[in-house]
Amino acid sequence: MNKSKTSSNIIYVILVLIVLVWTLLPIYWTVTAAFKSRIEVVAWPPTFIPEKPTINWFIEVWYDRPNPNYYANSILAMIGSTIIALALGIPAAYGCARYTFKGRQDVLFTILTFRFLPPATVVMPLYLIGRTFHLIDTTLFLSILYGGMNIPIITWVMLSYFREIPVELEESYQIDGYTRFEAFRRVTFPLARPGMVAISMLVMAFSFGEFLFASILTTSPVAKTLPVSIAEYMGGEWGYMWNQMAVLTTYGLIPLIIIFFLVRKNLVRGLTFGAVR
Amino acid sequence: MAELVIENISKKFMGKTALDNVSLTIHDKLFTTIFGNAGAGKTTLLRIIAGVEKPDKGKIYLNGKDITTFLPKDRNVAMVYQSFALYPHMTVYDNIANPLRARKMTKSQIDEKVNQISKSLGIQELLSRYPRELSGGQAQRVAIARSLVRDADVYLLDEPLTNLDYKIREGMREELKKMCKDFSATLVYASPDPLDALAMADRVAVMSDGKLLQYGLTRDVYYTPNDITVATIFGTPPINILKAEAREKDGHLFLETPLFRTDVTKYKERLSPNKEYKVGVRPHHLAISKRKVEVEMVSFPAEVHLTHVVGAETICYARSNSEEITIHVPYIYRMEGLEQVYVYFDPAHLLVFDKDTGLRVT
Repeated sequence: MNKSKTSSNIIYVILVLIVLVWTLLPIYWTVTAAFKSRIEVVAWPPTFIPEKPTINWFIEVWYDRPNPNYYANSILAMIGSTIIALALGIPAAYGCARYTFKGRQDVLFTILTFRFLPPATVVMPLYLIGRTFHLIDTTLFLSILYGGMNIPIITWVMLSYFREIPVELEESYQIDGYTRFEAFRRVTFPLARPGMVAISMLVMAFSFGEFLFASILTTSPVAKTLPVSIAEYMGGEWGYMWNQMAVLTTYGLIPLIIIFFLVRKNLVRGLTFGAVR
Repeated sequence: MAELVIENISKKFMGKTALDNVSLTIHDKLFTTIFGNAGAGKTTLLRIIAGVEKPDKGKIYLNGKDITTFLPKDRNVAMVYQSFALYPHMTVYDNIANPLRARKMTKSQIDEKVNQISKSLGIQELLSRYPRELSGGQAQRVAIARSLVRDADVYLLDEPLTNLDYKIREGMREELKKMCKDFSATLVYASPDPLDALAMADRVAVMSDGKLLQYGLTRDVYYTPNDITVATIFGTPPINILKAEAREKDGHLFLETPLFRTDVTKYKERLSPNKEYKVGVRPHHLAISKRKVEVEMVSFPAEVHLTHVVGAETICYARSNSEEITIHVPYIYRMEGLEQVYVYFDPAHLLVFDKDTGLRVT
């Protein structure tokens, strides 16, 4: 009994270690690559600690990209798209979870079909639409597109979340003496918050890292995003500029890590809530 | 003073009738039970009274005021859900205080009220806990506390005992009855269990398939049911129903069943000779004896084939002339194999129903 417990503990530790290495090693490699020399970054066998750490690449990127817009653009598109997706997806999910109306299943299915087409097949029509409405090369256009692409996932995830919250809680809250909106805000919303936070994280990560639309629908530094900027260090007369790419990728990790630490509590609380229900 | 008038309420869900023209008046400071099997429309009726469901037709008056279109928050009606509906992200204290906060009471007033109600329900130690840390019985007390803490005109309870185990249920019945008196509250209690109504209610409304079948004092409904449906569903174990035929002989009128024959001459005006009827006699009105005794009662032989002891009482299942009879005796009866017994009852307890309409004749 005791023995099997110990051995299952060992297996558990090994699995955790595998996941940690799997997740953290690429991040570690990228961050250290930003401090390595141009030779060392491609050296084989790879070095795990930079032999002669340098911050030259950070300085070079700073001068190479005098306009740090790409960074702000990515963050803007990320925030804008998340707001749009939540603002439209949550009411849709709530409405479909709480009301029975004719065509509800059709509405839900239609929302899902938005994700059926591979993005590459719609990027040309989107370019034409963007040109017609003078939205090419704007973060607004990216925000709308990223937001729209994420409405289905938000709607469907939140739908099951809302369905799990008994409608009696909201009713009871209204009988206690509050309006329907107050019942939503103080009962359903806090109970669904872990789900919203988790799904928002996904949307943000998607929007921050999206490349295809950004590369085609933005053309100047005014709206260019971080992934596009990173791609510009590929090829060209200097070949693959791994160090510069590593610097930009390191920058790119920062906002996501900050957001994760801000919402960490909500994610953990969400897990414990789910466990007892 | 609270008087709740329900007038011709009808409600359909997706074309299926949930309530069919229900009218009743809930009286002040009384314990009223809405009794009916699952799907009878009890919960829908309570939800319409609370305002979380809208009726298709009909009106609701509270103290003479038409509240049919009022929002739940404007009705001053409290409700305890079958699932308790405690807010999982709030402590017990905050759950109970919630309706008071909606009424903009001061912190000290809320504190006083919450402490007072939790003391009378014995849940003071639980105030800082979360609902997930409560047992079923505790959660139910918290749910009741949350509604009783308010000064509501009417308190609605939707099967609050169903989710509790047998032992707690027995205790809670007495407590609820006492609470109704102590708080001089007007209680409307929905339940599928006849024992709930018989143990607690001043008045009972029997519902079936969305219709109100009978409404009156609990003992009246029990002893003089309007029809065979009320007699069958309102009572546990269910009433024994037998076919019967009225026969006239020597100026006397008799009812003949496969089991017994009894003189019903005194009901001569209401029964017609050579007509078929159905008769009912409640299991606890039957008595068992192993020997035949000479008493002024109707008696017939039967064979007990199964007994079921509940507490200190016994439900006996007997067979006689291929009819199944249930007998409820107030003591522990143990049988050894199949037993031949004599079943007795006072013919005054016999209920006679019209065979076709089901209405009670005597």
